[in-house]
Amino acid sequence: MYGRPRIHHVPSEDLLAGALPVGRFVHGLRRMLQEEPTLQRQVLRGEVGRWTRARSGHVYLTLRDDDGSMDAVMWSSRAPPQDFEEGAEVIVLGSVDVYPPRGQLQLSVERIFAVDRLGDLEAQRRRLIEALRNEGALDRARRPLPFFPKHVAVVIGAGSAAEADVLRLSEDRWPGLRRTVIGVLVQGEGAEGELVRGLEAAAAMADPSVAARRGNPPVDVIIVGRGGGSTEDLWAFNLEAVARAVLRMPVPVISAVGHEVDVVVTDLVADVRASTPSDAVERLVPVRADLVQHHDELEARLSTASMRRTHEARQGLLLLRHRLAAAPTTGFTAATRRLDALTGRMSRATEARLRQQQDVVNNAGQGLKRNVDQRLTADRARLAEMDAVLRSTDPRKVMERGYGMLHADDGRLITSVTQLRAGDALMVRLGDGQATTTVDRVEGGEHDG
Amino acid sequence: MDEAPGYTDALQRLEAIVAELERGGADLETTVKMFEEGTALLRVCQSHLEDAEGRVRRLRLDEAEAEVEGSGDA
Repeated sequence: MYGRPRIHHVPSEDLLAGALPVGRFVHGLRRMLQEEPTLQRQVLRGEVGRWTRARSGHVYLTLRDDDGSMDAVMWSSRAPPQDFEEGAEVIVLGSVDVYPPRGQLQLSVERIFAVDRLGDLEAQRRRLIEALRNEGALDRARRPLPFFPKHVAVVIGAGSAAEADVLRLSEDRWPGLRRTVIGVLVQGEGAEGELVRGLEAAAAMADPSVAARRGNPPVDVIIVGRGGGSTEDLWAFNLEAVARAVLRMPVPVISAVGHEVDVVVTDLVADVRASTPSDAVERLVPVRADLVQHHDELEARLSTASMRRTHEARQGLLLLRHRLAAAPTTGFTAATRRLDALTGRMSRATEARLRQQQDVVNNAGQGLKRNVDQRLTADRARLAEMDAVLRSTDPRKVMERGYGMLHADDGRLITSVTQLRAGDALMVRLGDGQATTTVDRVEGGEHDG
Repeated sequence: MDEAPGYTDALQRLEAIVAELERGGADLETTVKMFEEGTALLRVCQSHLEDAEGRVRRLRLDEAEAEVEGSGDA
């Protein structure tokens, strides 16, 4: 009863609708594997089983040991120039991947080292350090970091946690600090080239004219680094091209690679070695609020000290005056005398002038009085004279001697008989009174009226 | 930077002036001169702080290289 399985009926519409296209399934699987950190960028050890270099330049190999094996691929851009023998002991850096057209699980290898070559790499690193030492690069005078940066360039893993740490921590310490992050590859194939190019770009931004094109002050310090990782992950920072780029930088460089324990070649050649990217920020960026507070303190002390000095000077003058009065020394006495003399002269001058003015007034007054008196005396004398004259000519004086005066009834003085007619009423004035009378007869005179 | 002193130079001079004034003993004229210089240095220090403020820019490598293109360094 064994036979080929047969399809007895077509599945329901529901089942059809829920069925996943296999390609999507494979791609989903691939994504899951790629997002699993324990399957990515693992350092594996084994021996080379198969080794085939295709015409495209890609290398297909098998990695195996006593317990298992896995197919692996090195894309042409990452394939080493030399071929490996079957059975060679190797260490690879690789990530698990699925080749979707065949759904085949494989290891994508970024780097491969013969086990004895790892030793070679370390030996290479030592030779580089020795060469740098001989050139004096390790003993060179380190440039001091600016007291605080006006434009920091940060060459670091693009979008990495280290980048975020640097930005956040620097913002905490100095809000609004001017920063330019240049995101690069910091590990794997291409990291060496990108680190060098990133550093060169940062160096160019240190040129004032280049920076000015973007309205920025020039970059005055560079942080180059990455977060923690395996020795392999950090290896790019041990490469000669990167170390030499650090040495070429026109402004101070802080090397901030990995964790505290990691020491790479850029740490040895940089102006400052920071243990981590965060440590670089702490060394470079002061807390702005502290500086502002320091300024405020200095401002207050400046004012206080200056005011006190001015106050002291004022007090000193007062004190000096008291001392001059109390215990005069020769010099001071002379000074006081001179001062007194001056004061005396001044007051005397003032008094004299006052007196002078008063004299003028007084003299003027006296003169006036004299004039008036003289005038009055003269007038009085003249009046007496006039009085005598008047007295002598006063008709009443004559009348006192028995003469009378005749007035017409209209008051006219009668001085001639021609003024009279018989029957006119006349008033006779004598010295002590008057009387009326009538004219009886008129005699004499040319008037015949 | 040629005419205005750098931050640390200005700050050190300012600190020296403050210390000198606090020690006392300078004549009044010198005191006034030091006060004026100190005030000017304080302004220099404050303006340096302002100079450090700017934008935060996150550039990809190619963006950074495009920005500095033609500088002869890149």
